[in-house]
Amino acid sequence: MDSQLHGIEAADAARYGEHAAIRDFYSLEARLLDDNLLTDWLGLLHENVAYLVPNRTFKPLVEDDFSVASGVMVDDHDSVAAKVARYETLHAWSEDPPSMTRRFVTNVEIGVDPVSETPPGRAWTARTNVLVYHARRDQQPALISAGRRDVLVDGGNGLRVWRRLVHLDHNTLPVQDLAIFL
Amino acid sequence: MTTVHPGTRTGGLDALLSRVRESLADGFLPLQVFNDADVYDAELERVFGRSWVFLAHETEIPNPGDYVLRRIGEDPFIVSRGNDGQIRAFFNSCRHRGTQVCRYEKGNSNSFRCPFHGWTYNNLGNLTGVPSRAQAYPQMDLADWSLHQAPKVDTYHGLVFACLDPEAVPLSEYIGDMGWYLDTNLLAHPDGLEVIGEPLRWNIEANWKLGAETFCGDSYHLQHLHRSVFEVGLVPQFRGKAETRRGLDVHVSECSGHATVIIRGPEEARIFWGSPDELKAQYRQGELSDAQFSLARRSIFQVGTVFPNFSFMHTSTAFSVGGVAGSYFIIRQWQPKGPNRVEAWNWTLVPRGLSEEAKQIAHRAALSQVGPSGNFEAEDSVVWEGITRVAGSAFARRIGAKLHYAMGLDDGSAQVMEDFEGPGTVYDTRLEDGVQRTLYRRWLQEISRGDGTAV
Repeated sequence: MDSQLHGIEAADAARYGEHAAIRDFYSLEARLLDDNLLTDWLGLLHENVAYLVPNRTFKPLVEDDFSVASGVMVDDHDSVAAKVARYETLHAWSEDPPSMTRRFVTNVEIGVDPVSETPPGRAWTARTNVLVYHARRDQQPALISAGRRDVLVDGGNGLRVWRRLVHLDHNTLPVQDLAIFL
Repeated sequence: MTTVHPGTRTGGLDALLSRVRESLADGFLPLQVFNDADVYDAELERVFGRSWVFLAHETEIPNPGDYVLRRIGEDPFIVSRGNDGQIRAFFNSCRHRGTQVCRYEKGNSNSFRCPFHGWTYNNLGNLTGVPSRAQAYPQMDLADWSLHQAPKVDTYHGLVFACLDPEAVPLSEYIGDMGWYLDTNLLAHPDGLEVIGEPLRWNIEANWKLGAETFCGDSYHLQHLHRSVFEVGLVPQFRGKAETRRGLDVHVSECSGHATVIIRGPEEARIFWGSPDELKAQYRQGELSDAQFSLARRSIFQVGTVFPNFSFMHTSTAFSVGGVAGSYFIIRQWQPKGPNRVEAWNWTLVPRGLSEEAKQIAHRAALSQVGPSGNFEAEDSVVWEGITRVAGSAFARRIGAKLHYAMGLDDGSAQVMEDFEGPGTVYDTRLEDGVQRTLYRRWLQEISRGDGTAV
């Protein structure tokens, strides 16, 4: 905790390389999603990924606000793949034409959270902020803001998302649907 | 030749309602009702101000002191279980100067303290604390300053409703014949139902009636709007085509002003909305009649709306291609937020005491299909927004644009099943619009009350 409060020390310099690689990973991921290359993006998810967007309710204790039990999205690789497959039919009208999205991923912090489960191989925890500009046809555009907590693992030929927990800055989603990934 | 129909901005609400009345008799509905400020104001007063409106499920507030924040129309209420165990709906507004006394959406508290001057109310609604009272209000009788509350609050098998009209009929009478169908969903499991977590909420730039209408039973849209879901193979037990199996697929209209759609399996089927075997074995007839239990047993799918804005759906789907199908029962509120805006609130209900694993499968099945990232529902909101947008257009008002709700009306294509065991006017097909006309007939009746127009 102290090292985080007092800034990054010289001994941490070795981590800068990892940090840059992880930032690049997030840029790649955001680009694939923004360009609607969903099948390619699916390749960035580990086969045992848990992709969770908890529901948020304002309660007296802030830490209780997020409920995974009643999530907005509770997905694994196969259910994400099913959504992607549906979007790629010619009859997913809500994404035809596709939403215009632009993801801004910032505040990449590595190692804030411990790895609480046993990942398959080498792993990094990363927190990021994500702001998604979302516009569909002639509708009013919306902004979705969230903090993400990921566990990334070494997939052999690149990083993979093994755990993703998205904490929305919304109790009521500002968009009619979340036919996009955060 | 185009006839010019003045809209409410020029012709007034009464003129529009007269046009609705004339149109509806022929199975048409003026588009304007889906985006009109005068209609909306009247709805808040006459529909939401008089109807029994769903607030919560009892299991959201199981213990004394538990509360959730909810709305009736747009008005904020605290749904509180007092220390005496009774559920009340307090208007969330301090009697002193009006601001909200409760700012959390869910919690447990003995009291609600106003942030402005510190007036404090217990969870029975009584004013119990006034800062500097001896000097500031030496004559005050605290008993005169309890929180305002909804005059009527009642529950229906775990569903908590309130009504702002002290003259309203009791809840059981309001639900009326629809109870016969609701009960098959609510009572078939002997342990009753409980909610999973908190309601999921999302904003749709659409009129609230469109969600209510779709859940009354727009069976016709499944094959087209939701084609992608069938194409990918997420609903293997359910044919995407709307070819109706006469008498197995039924539309229940005019059911005390409410409506429901049921898709059934054959006589001997044990389906229970596609429940897994473990769950099927748990369903019991209990308080249900033979006919009701038989309906539960044969049900593949049920969807319905209790007027004005409470809906439900009970079915099953897979959340991955070729994967396990989970059954789910969701309840829904179409929370009005303006003439062209609605918040959808969604709760998933599961039998009490279901294993964590089974609960999780039910919840994932629900989320994968309904809600903002649901494979089904992601599509609905887009078309509702499109309808709402043009409903507010000057051109639609000018030409008096009407929408088509006449399927099955007067052409013999939909037959009333006189021998169906349940109440309501039951049609033998899901290719008919009577279930949706039910909503608008009821709506017209309510919104016309008080405007001096005979219905």
